[in-house]
Amino acid sequence: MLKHHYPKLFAGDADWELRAKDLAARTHELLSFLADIAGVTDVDVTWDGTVTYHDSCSGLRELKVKDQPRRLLGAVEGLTLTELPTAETCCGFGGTFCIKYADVSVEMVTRKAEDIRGTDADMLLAGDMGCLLNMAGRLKREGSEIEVRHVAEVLAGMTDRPSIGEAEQG
Amino acid sequence: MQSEAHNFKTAAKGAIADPNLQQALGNLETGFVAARARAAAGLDEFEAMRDEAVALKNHILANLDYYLARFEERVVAQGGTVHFCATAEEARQTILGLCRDNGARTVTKGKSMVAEEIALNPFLEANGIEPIETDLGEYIIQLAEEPPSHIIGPAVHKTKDQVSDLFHEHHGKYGKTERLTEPEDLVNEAREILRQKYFDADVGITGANFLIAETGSTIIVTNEGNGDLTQMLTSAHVVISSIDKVVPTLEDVSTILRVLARSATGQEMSAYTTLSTGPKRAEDLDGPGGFHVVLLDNGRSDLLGTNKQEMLRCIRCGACMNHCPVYLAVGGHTYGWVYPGPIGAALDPHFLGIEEAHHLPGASTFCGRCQEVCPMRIPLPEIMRHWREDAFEKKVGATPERLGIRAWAFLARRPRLYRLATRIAMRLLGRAGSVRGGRFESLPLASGWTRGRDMPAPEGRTFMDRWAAGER
Ligand code: SF4
Repeated sequence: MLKHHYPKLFAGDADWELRAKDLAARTHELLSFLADIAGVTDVDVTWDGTVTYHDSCSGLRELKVKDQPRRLLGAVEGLTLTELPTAETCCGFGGTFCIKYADVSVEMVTRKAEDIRGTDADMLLAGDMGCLLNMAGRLKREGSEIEVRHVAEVLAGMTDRPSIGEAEQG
Repeated sequence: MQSEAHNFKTAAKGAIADPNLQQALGNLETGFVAARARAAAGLDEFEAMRDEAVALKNHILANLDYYLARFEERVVAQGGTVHFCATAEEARQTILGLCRDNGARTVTKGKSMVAEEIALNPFLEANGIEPIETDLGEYIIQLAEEPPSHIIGPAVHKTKDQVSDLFHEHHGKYGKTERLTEPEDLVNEAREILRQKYFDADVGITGANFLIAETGSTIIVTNEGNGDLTQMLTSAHVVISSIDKVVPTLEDVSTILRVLARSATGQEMSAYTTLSTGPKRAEDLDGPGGFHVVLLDNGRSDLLGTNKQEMLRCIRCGACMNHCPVYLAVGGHTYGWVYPGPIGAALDPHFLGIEEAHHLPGASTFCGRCQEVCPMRIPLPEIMRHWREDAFEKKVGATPERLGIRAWAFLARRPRLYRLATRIAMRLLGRAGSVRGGRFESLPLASGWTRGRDMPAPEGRTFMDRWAAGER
């Protein structure tokens, strides 16, 4: 939104177009910032288990985030990444779409959840809160034990905190 | 065809609950998607070819009148006629006139989406002329009395067993009483029955994928070769096509053909590429007695110079629907009109009006996969977004939704208020959520969400809140 759409939205406005472009140039998706700009290669974290990863649509297709999370996760000690065969297929969130066209949206996320369970991973990671909310919501509804988290939680070693859709213990 | 686009939501529900459809859509996804990926990966210059095709089509659209005039000139020089038709009604009447001129009682038809657009079959039937579809998929849905559900595979929504049932039911009158189940046997039976119809038909109607300005030829690509027979054996060949299909030269068309088949089915080339140039000449052994090209505008030229002009680059390959997660969940019929999937969502409102078709551009997550695979690099989500803007301005769609957007816009322009509101909301939800195990099974105003999913509860404090409190 900030990176690609703001400059278009404000195109032709003498003052705001420049500001939009300036903001766009300074805005980065977290994982591409860490991997591409900050040059993080060593994360000094251990997490034992298998994860799978969903490529969120705008991250993947607009911001070209594909390799960065995989590189960062590769640096986590003990972590195995099992690729989700349909990682690039939309989970069905889509902003207002998930409420307006709820039946279609639920069908899409149900298929997604099935594919996620098929990987036998302990944890599902992604970099987009909309997708995470949607996939966690469906997996929880199905009674799945798979933890759902933002990639950053693993990279920051914060997996002791409750995962998405779980409450603090005790 | 009568539009059912307004009925999208109800149709979607039915489609999701239909096991046969879901099975058929599953096959489509695994088949076409994998095939296109292989074809794209197998050719290093594929991306460059796409760029070339886009540039070519942009050039054509900027000079459309010139190339159409050239095309007509060449068709006439070969002894054919071009009929420019502004509206669907004009095109229907023109074709009926041509059928009557040739005393036609039956016509054979190759696959044509433009014929669907003008609802040609029911019109011919109402006027006492029997149209016989010769493309296998079209033939199947003609038997089933259904519209196509996909622009290149009209019967993709049918399973093999359903086709077997249909043939068993309808082929009895030709003495075919045995129920066939093997795809090969089914195809052979259809071929045998259709073969006779070619000889009986008086006029052959085909579509055209391209019109060549340089030679006055029309081109169809098929995998069955039915187009050839449709036009060769009749007293007149009528081509029904639209003005956006013109291409300057044969060289140019080869550029587009290379991306078309790869995007559509993953083939390098479709099995048959048939060029038709004028009627039978004195020295020809066979060929149609007359050659007529009916060229439909139907509002296409109104798209020129608008923020939706890029739709006119479309070459009807179907890749956008093969890769669309919404199409693959609900199938083509759910869209309710001729063109389904992303191309339909971007095009149908133009033909039907946004009031009738607002669900089509609405029912998209803007995941962007269509644009990624579209050989002509049409920014389909962006065009759908333009339609949503039109719908909003014309006050089309549900009132709560428009109010919601207004309320959000109000808050978004008042950052302090926005922060305060989110802070309060997140606190309340966080507190309520923590006693419910971190998620809600139902929520007021969000029953659409909670019907099939839980709603994870927020932790209680917003990012801005924690940042301000020095937690970093
Ligand atoms: S919009 Fe693009 S992908 Fe869809 S049918 Fe047209 S050319 Fe093919």
